[in-house]
Amino acid sequence: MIPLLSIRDLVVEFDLGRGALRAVNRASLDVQPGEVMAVVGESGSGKTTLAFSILNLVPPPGRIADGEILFEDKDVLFLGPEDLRKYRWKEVSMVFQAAQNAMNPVMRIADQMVDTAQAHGKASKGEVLEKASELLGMMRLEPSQILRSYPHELSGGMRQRVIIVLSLLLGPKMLILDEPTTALDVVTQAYILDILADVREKLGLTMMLLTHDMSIVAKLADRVAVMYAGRVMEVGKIEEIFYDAKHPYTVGLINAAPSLIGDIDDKKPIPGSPPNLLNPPPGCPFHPRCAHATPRCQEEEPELKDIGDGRLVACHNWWLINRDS
Amino acid sequence: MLIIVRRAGIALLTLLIVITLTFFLLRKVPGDPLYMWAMELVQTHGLDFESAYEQVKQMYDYDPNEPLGQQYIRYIKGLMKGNLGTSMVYKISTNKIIVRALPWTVFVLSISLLISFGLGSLMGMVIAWKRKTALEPIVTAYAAFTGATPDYITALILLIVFAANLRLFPMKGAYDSALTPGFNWPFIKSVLRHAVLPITAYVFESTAAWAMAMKGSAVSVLGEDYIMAARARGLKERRIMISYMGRNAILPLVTGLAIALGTMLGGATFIETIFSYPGIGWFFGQATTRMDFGLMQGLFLVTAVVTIFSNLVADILYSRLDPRIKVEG
Amino acid sequence: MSVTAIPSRLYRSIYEPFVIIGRNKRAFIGLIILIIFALMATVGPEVVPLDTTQSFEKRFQWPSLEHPLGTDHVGRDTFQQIVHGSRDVLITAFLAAIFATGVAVLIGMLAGLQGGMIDAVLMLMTNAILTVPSLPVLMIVASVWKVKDPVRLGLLLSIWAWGGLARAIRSQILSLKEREFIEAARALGLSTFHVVFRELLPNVMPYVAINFFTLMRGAITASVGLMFLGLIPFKATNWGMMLSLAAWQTGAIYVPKALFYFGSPMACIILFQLGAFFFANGLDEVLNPRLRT
Repeated sequence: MIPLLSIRDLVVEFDLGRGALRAVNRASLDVQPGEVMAVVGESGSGKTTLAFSILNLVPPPGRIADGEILFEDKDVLFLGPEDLRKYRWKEVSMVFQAAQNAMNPVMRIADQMVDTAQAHGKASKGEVLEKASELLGMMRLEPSQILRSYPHELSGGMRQRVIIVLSLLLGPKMLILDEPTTALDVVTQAYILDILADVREKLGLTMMLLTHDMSIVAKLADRVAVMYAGRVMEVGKIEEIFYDAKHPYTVGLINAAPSLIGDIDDKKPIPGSPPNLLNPPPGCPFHPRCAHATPRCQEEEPELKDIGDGRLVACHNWWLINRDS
Repeated sequence: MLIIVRRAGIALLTLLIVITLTFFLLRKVPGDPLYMWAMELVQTHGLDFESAYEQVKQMYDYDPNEPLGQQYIRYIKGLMKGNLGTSMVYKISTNKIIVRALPWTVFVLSISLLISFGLGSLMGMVIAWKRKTALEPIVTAYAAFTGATPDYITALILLIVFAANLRLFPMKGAYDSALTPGFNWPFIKSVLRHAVLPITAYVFESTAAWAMAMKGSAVSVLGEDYIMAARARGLKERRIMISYMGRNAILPLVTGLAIALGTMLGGATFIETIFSYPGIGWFFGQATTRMDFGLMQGLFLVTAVVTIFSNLVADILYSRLDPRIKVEG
Repeated sequence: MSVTAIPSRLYRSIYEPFVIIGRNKRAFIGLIILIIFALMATVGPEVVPLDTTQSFEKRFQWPSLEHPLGTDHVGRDTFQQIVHGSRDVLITAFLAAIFATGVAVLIGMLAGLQGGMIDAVLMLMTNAILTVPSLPVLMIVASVWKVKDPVRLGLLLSIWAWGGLARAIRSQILSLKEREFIEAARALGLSTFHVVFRELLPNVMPYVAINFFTLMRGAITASVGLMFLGLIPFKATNWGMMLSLAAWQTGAIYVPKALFYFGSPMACIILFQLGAFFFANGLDEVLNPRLRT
């Protein structure tokens, strides 16, 4: 199958006065049409920057230094301003982290919907609002009341759902969600996840889900990519990742996530702290915290290798790793 | 609602303080102000001093022998009835002078304010939006220069260059006194010609301030999430600049606009004086230099009332305009 | 802070400010301008003579070696007048700023520290000061109270000028009050006097210093303006009087040759304002390290 989105060796740097910070360091990833790909990692792993790059929206002082992002075989990074504007939201849309502030405070929701649609072609106000109402209904919201409100008049959970509607308004082929449930209470979280699963089924969307919360991944994802220090460390189907992870970091993540069954004392956090992205250690970025590190890990950076059937790992010692390591 | 009442209450108290202050200030003048005016009457009308003094006492409604407290009460009562005093120079009531002068002030200053606000906001918006542009250092330098130059100097330079020496525009007045006022073209043309320099002086002086204020506001709005989100949604740049950045950035400035509108009613004394433009400011200037206490007090009161009131309105307006803010105490 | 051989406390208080001002070109120029005017006001009148002989045929001359800024309507040297006038102008501005600052600090601290009824009353007054524009008030007071010397003029100008600073000081005090070191000082039993002078005032000082220049600028604008309107009859060498005479009485505005006569006081005023503005900005950088680039 030809992937819908193909990221190849992406490098994104942030130019701080005292040096360049590599937020994304030669990351590669494929997303197949119709699947839900979860990108997992701690904060600072580079997943948000990766997502911004897909829309070519990396804010200064950041810039995309190298690599290619192919959407349906076109390199997004080489699109002219007008084409880029048309591509954004119509082909790929995004639900930002802490989306509460993603809407213009002085415009009604309805107007912002119309704005979004009309920026991409002629559409009558009526048509847009009809589509919006339909989507709002899918989100289990009352359309007429929502549409004439201002953003601040809605609760956090409602705003999150409105943002999701905005992102689906133009019928994009792919939806990126950045931490869609943080900053929400647990009940609302479950609700949103339910809705997302619903939407995915009804609209057949391709989704890229960025999160550090393994429980969401379990609920929605088909495949999982694990990022660390701006690199993709492991990619695989969800059962493979959960039950047969091959990268020490992935194993650590799975083991650290609390569950309803079992003793919390059995859970082990990953020792050490996230790497300094300004002066990264040589070799594999995870080696300072890895129980299986060998001298080779300190010198040579592992490549992301295909170990069969679409399973990718970036670790020198992957064959040694299993769940209980 | 309660908050508005409270704010209005403070406004009224402030007004009362101002009224009282001016009242006592003008009553406590060293020497006898009436003496001077009585002497003038004696000389111009040939009255004897006694009757002249009596007449002045009536006009100014001021008996130096009356206890101060009683005078104050009478004054306040008079105010309630709309009696703002009598002008000693012009010998008519202050109200009549206001009616004559107000239209001119409002005419010139409202046009000036609108132009400088509109131009300034636009400039500020564009500068903030396009981060590196040739326009920015120019506007910043312009702002520094007009900030350092008092408005009377700007007006004076305009007068000297364009009126006195180049003879492009008239030197004084609101219109050519040889013409008859009315809706005839020569009159209207004359009015417009006479208004050009005062308006230019005001606009030149204030535009930069609005531009810098707008720039500051817009820059902070640009840092907000919804601007980036709007870009991600593929909205056109111009649309984002105007409806997303502009509409949010202008909110704090509207308060300033309301206040400026109010202050303008005090008349731009300097500009009107330099161009001999017969608005409230010019009359006030005349009143102070010629020691016309009646007129002085009346005009100042009007200024104070309007300013305090417009501040109140600005407060309330701001909370209404920004859907996010609920009027808080 | 950079590592240097100079003892760090000395470095911080004396050497470093100059370095910062030096780096900021505009602030540096501002400082130079202010120093020039200060010299003009203090030393100038001693060094430069004032020749008041009137000579009609010398009126409105262009600048020359003999008269660097030309002559006025009765043939007197403009430059001399500027120099001699500068003293009164600057003294007035300085005094006005001092008086206004004094009142503002007093009221601001009182309101901030006492709170309650006193605070409410003081803030009502301050609000009145801030809402009603100062110019009309100054005009009325000037017309009623004949002002003849710089000290009285300074007082007059300060009447309506202290509002902004008072309010700012009060906010500063209110936020400082909450902070622990005040509570700690109180808990240690240190007297109110100590708290005020050793803890609170030093924190308020930076703002006061910068505001001082703003007050001076306002005082100059106001005093020249009032003179221009004819409300303050001062000596003819005062810049404001020069402008007033030029505009109203001498017909100087009609004579292109008189450019330097009325242009000089204008230029001096503008230059001083710019200088004070830029220097105050530089001072802001020195005292608020967060602003440094």
